[in-house]
Amino acid sequence: MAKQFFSDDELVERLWDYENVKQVMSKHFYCYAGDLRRQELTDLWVKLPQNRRYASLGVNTGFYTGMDDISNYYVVQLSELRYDQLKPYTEADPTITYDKFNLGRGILNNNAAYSPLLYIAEDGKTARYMCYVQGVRAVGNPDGTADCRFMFGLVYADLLKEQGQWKIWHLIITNDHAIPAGKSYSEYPMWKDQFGSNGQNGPLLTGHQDPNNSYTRDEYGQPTVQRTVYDPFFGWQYLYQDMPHPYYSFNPNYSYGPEGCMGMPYYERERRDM
Amino acid sequence: MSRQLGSNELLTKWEKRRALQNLMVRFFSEDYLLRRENKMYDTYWSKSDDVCLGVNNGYYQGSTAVKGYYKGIEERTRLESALIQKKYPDQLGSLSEEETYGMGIMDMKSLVAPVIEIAGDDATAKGIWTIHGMNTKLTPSGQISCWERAYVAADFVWEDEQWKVWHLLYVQDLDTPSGYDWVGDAPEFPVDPVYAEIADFKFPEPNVKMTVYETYSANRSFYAPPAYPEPYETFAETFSYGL
Repeated sequence: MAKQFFSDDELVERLWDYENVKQVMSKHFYCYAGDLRRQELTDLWVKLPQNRRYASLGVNTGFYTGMDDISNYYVVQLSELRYDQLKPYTEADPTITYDKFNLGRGILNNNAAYSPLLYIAEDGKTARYMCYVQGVRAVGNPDGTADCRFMFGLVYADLLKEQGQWKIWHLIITNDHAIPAGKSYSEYPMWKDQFGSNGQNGPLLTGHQDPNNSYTRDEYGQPTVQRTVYDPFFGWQYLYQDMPHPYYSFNPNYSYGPEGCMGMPYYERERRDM
Repeated sequence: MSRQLGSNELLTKWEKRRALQNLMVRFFSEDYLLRRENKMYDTYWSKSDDVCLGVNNGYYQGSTAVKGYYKGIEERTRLESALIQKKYPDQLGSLSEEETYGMGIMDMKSLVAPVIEIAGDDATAKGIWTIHGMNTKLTPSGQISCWERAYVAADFVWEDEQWKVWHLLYVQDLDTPSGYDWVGDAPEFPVDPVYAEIADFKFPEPNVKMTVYETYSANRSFYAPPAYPEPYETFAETFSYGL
């Protein structure tokens, strides 16, 4: 049965739990914006081996599971992408060296969490978090042009209290919209031809099918567990089920990891629970 | 924190954290009354001599320079208000300077993703926020709407039983007109003779000129956000957001 009351000391601890979980998630956004992903995995994510084995990072198209796969996707593949993005600059200007000191040239990432929703489990061992992200992102070209976009998406997380410190255990970074800056929202293809084919007339929200969208083209990769985690076309339909609710203790069936319900239509969730 | 704090100490620390959050929300709402009476500095900044305000193109170092920055905001706002009043004589012509001050200009800055650390000795604190701004600027063509994406990071000092800003770093990734893709030529609009005078307004320059942070361009080197604070005991063992 759920514990109904907390002592004063427990309440003070929970007060700080809320602050500290929000702070960890804020740090994630600064690391994300600064391409400091190795630092994020080292400082903000779970450390104990038994937790690292079951850590996961979700994107629209699946989950990366275990810290090795997460690191390979989140850090190594990003670094490779940044080298690819640097190449045209070095070809256009030989004084720009093709090395780590010039990585990120022409790149802009500025993301932040809006409207965080957060519950600490009544047992105090885990926390569930969700927020909306309104970010901006740009990938430049040496001719001075850039693919500049407003980024919108939801971020979900399960956090664990490990040796007194809150750590990210399961993280999902979804992409809802990636709208080109300087264009009318109403001009974007979704609203003209939502069931169209790929490219200019293709669906806006299933952005991974859009070859002109540099975010979704480059950044989903090949997840360890490939399934729909978030389909923007239906995403908000499931928001009520996906958002954190008050809970007593962690239940993997409702986690933000691959064993959870993210991306499942409501009827599949009901079948699973029967 | 190096030692275990009791519940009362933790509650006091939580209150101080809350106070710091509130201070920054008030600070960035840029209270127009305080701005008009040039009280922004006296209200929010430390009495310390080594105050510092960093922006993209340099630092306002010392109290005289930081006060000059606020004087610049005050004077620019006064000019903007006067020009907007001149533009709409039927609607605004009879209003006093006090009534029109700040009219027609919007500076809306959301402060999100705070990371705050209060020193173990409670004497100082540090924090960083991301700013998502929707601002209106008066240009020779009239008011234009801009998107702002920025970071603000600050050192605070506990003075007279309240937090005061000690060193502030306010750096922008974007501060660009809406309806524009942030690179290339910004949209041009015809000059309105009533507003032409605003082009001559000279905002006070930082007294330490240097590139602190570049706004985004396709050829910009990579800029990470300012470092977020880590737990610390005394200010001597952490870094400063000032010079």
